[in-house]
Amino acid sequence: MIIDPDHSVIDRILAGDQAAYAELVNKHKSYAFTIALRILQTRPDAEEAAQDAFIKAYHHMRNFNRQAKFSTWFYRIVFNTAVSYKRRQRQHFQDIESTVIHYNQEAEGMLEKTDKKKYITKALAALSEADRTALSLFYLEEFSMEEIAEITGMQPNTIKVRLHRARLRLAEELKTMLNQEAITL
Amino acid sequence: MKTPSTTYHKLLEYIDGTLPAAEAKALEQALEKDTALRAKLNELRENHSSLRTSLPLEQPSRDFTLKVMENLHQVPLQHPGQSIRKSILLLAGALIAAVGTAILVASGLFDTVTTTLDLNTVKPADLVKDTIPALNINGRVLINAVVLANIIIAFIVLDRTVLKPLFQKRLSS
Repeated sequence: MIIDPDHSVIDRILAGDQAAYAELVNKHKSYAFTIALRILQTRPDAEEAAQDAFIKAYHHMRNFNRQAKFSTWFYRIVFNTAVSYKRRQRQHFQDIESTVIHYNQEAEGMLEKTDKKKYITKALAALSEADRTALSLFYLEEFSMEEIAEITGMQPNTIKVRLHRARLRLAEELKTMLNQEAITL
Repeated sequence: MKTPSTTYHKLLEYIDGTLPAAEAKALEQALEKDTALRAKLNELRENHSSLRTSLPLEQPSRDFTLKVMENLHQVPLQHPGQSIRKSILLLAGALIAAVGTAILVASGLFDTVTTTLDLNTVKPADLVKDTIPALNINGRVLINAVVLANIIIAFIVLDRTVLKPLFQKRLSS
């Protein structure tokens, strides 16, 4: 069993202190939202998925066996919930191209100020959601390779190879974009 | 000989500081000689630092916690229900097809269905000189193989889409 400060909060929740759950929500909401956003690419959907994941985690709290950190267990729920939302988006015949355009416009308007950042956002949108999430978790610099593997449901060796491939693919995408930009100038 | 891909993976490990010392030294020697490799390292390094600043921790709306706490009493939606229903229908279809065909086989319907496939009539004579032996196809054997494949598919459907979600649901409840 590992030592995790969240475990004492979980004990209080399991003892009936429902309000204590707000502490866990406040602590993990940014990471949960970021993971969901990288998969779903739109803020409203990411917010809904992250909230849904918190509610699921609350109802399944007794199944948390404390063999891992609460955050790892919980972010796995966030990942699965967001992937499930993504599947539903596809079932609603949402064109993947329109999703990418929406993401770029939104990200461009809200986040991106420099050209380099803009191209990185575009290149990221071209990656698969699993690659994008893995890269995102890696660059948040909060998770070990084992934890990223645990969250995304992959083997540590697989995630390492996947991350490398995603970074190389991203580099290629960026190079192509910058070349095209140079041609059009 | 190492492929460029293997070398690029090593470059990433080098940037992350996870490449073993001996391999890092060998890579540094290669970098001194190879300008293209050095350019690739610089490119990956630049992307690495850009990604560190371009993938920030995002913040949800201000009332996020409040919304979660307000909806905490709600039972999470279970989506696999419909999928299990569809899977049972698929399974039933596969089993009905298998049983129906098995009954037809048992009644002897396919016993007389035999044919001989003679490839000598269609072979390119200028390319293939030898005589190809004719293939005798027995209808009963062929249909038995189809029934067997159908039963295997039914078992896979049963396992993947009915039993697995059912046990997962029991474990989580």
